[in-house]
Amino acid sequence: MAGILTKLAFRNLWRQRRRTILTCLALAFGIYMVIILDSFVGGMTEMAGRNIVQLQTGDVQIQAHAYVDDPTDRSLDHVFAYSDFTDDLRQLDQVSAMTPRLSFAAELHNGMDDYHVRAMGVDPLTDPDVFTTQQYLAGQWLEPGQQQVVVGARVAQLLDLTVSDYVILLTRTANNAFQALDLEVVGILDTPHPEVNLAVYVPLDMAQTSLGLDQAITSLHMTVSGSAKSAYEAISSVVEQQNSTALGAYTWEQAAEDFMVMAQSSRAIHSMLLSMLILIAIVGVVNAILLGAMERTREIGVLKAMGMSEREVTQEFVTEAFGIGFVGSAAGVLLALLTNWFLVEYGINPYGDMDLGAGIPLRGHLYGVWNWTIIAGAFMVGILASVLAGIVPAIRAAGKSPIWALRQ
Amino acid sequence: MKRLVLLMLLLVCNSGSAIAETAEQIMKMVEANVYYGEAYMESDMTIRSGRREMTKTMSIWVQGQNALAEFTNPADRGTKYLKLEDEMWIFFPDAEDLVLISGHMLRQGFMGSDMSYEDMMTTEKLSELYDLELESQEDLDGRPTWVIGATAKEGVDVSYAIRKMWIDQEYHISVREELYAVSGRLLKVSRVEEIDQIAGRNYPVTVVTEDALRRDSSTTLRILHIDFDIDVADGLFSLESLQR
Amino acid sequence: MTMLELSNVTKIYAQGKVHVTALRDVDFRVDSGEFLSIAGPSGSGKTTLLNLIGCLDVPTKGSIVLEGQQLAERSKTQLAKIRRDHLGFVFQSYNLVPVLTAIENVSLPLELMRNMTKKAVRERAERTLTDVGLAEHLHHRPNELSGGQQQRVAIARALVKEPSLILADEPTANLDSETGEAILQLMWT
Ligand SMILES: Nc1ncnc2c1ncn2[C@@H]1O[C@H](COP(=O)(O)OP(=O)(O)OP(=O)(O)O)[C@@H](O)[C@H]1O
Ligand SMILES: [Mg+2]
Repeated sequence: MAGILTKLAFRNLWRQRRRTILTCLALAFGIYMVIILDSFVGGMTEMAGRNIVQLQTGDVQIQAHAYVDDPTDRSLDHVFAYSDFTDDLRQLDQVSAMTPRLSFAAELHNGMDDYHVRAMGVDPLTDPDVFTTQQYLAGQWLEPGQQQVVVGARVAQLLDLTVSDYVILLTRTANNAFQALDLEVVGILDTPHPEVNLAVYVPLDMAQTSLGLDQAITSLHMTVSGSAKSAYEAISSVVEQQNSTALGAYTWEQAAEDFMVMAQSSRAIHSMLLSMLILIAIVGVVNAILLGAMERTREIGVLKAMGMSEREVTQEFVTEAFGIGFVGSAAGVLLALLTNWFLVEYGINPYGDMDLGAGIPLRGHLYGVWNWTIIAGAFMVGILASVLAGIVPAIRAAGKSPIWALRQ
Repeated sequence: MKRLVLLMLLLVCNSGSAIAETAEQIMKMVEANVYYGEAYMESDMTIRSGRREMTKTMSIWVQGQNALAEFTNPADRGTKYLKLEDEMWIFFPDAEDLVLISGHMLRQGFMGSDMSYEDMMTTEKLSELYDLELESQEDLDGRPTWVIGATAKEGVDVSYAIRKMWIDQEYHISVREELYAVSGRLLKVSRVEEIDQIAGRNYPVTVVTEDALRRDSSTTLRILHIDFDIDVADGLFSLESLQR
Repeated sequence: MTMLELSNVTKIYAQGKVHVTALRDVDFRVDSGEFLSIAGPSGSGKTTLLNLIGCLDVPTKGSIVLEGQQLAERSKTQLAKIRRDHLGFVFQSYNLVPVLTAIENVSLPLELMRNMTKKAVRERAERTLTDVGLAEHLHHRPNELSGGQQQRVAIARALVKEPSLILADEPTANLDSETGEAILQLMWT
């Protein structure tokens, strides 16, 4: 029996194939947009997260709570001696690499102009174990103990610097006295992370000596293996054992709060896209079913005269709605799968060298991601919204009095 | 505003005197010149940076450790600075906003000049913060001076780890000063370009400060008028007076 | 045996404030196997009468008993079931389902009854269409058939479930007299 209703439904869809195809296309477009935009947002989030981990935070970092609570605090008030931790941290299987950093505020002078920068003392030997900074380096990397600096591309551009130029880094020591360091620019960093491009890197030991800080750092960065959560907990307990309440272990997500806010907003984009999709489905399907029912008023009358129940007439129209939903969603998903395969495999370069600003580390080649939840979700929502949208006009169509319908 | 005080209100001991034996003794004489009485002055400040130049004018009241400066040039008219012992407050008339200069703000330049608030706020005597050494005697612009090197004492918080001062042997005024970073790099030079006799006292009336790291950058501070015989109104050096 | 009995059937159409009395106190009886023609001028209420008998509408007054069942106070669903199981309709303008072929149109009533196998449905539909002389046109869509052929499909559709009562409202009105004769002939048999 369901057979005849299904047959009628699909024959009728086919009879109005132009309308059916248009409705399906609208739905397919909605599904396609949801999946592709999600892939983009996912790709951006992943890329930004990767850049933060690889250029800024590592997987887990130890630093003073004060710096996380107030990101504008660039003072040396909360430095710590990391040698207290290193032995215990090395004991942890989860910690596969670690490197110290000393972040401080400075002015970089080229003799004409100057620019406020975040200066970073890095250990030239262990920094590459945790960070991929060197991949973006033009020129040489730092050598321990040398009066050298690697400058971010944006700083280099603003101060018109090239490799082998000399600059003066003006800062304050731990005792608050001015310190001016004559440094040679050995390399320039052009990374996808805008904050890095606005920073300068110097050898950690040289920075510590110059700032009057004996072995002190502002943060210890680690790469972990295995479960991030268990690694984080293990590192946290090491910090706690040291009884240093001022310090804490932070996952990169906790350390990069701005970014996480952005990632949260991508979830808002999801629900917005899904509502858009549902709207497309509702408008398209309601239109298709209403028009179909209007054109086939007589036919509905005949079917009812032949003993078809209102339930069955409703079922026939809902089946049509389902057909539109299924075909549209399937077409959208298929197209999206093809496009996304391309996005995942080859990626695109949507921003060129443009800087999105707002400190969001997004630049360069963007790859899509496979988010099967959203793909399956969009497919189901497409069908479900279509079917639900079809129900009311179908009930209306089925409720028409047969004599009235036959007189038309 | 101590530096203003230091730079403008050095009281001259006109003894024309005997050669001091040690750097400490010389600094004592210089510090003894610092006048903590009452004064009213009108002055201007010319800030030069490359080809840009701007001049700000102000009226200043001083009483002991307290000072009040009110800007009178059109762009900054009504902006007031109040130094109360070791606190510095600014009042911005447009925003009707009262701001306490603290923390990292202390390191910013005063009204865009080459002098930081911090430079102007130091209240301790140099001889307490630095180890002093009489390096040599030099003629500067044809006048004999003592050259004193100052190195920050262990553990004290000072902006400049090293200073070098040229003290006029007759006036006991520091007529040239060089400020250095820990690394020994020269950061700032200030020099007295003009000394005038006002009410029987010798005063540095034109002081030029240059930032050694910025080419073509200097701040010139001039005293146009000074009056020692004033009555300071009650409550002039108070936060309420800033907002009037 | 009494197949249909109408007593005091009145139908008043209410269109806003205007009331049209289409039928007034109609009484008659029909026995099984009877062939009954109702004639009257246009607007005399023929279609109205058939709609009432066909359970498509309810009388304003009076009772209709079909195969011993009182039609009054039956639910829409029950009326639909009576139509499906006991009645066959032939309309003036054929009213075939345009998306279905001749044999599918004829199979439709049987499929709605849901009590036969697909094969049995097919065989019965094919036989009925052969009976009305359309063995050659089983798989034609209505728009590929002439008016006479369409009306024969419609008759086959009404006959195929062997209903107790076939209601035909001016089945020949849209046909030329010769074809009309043939259609009437068909219904006789
Ligand atoms: N749904 C309706 N609403 C209002 N009036 C109606 C309705 N259906 C029929 N009528 C009226 O009832 C009367 C009977 O109409 P009906 O269609 O039964 O006549 P008929 O005998 O079938 O005529 P014809 O030979 O033209 O088909 C007419 O006056 C008609 O206008
Ligand atoms: Mg009629």
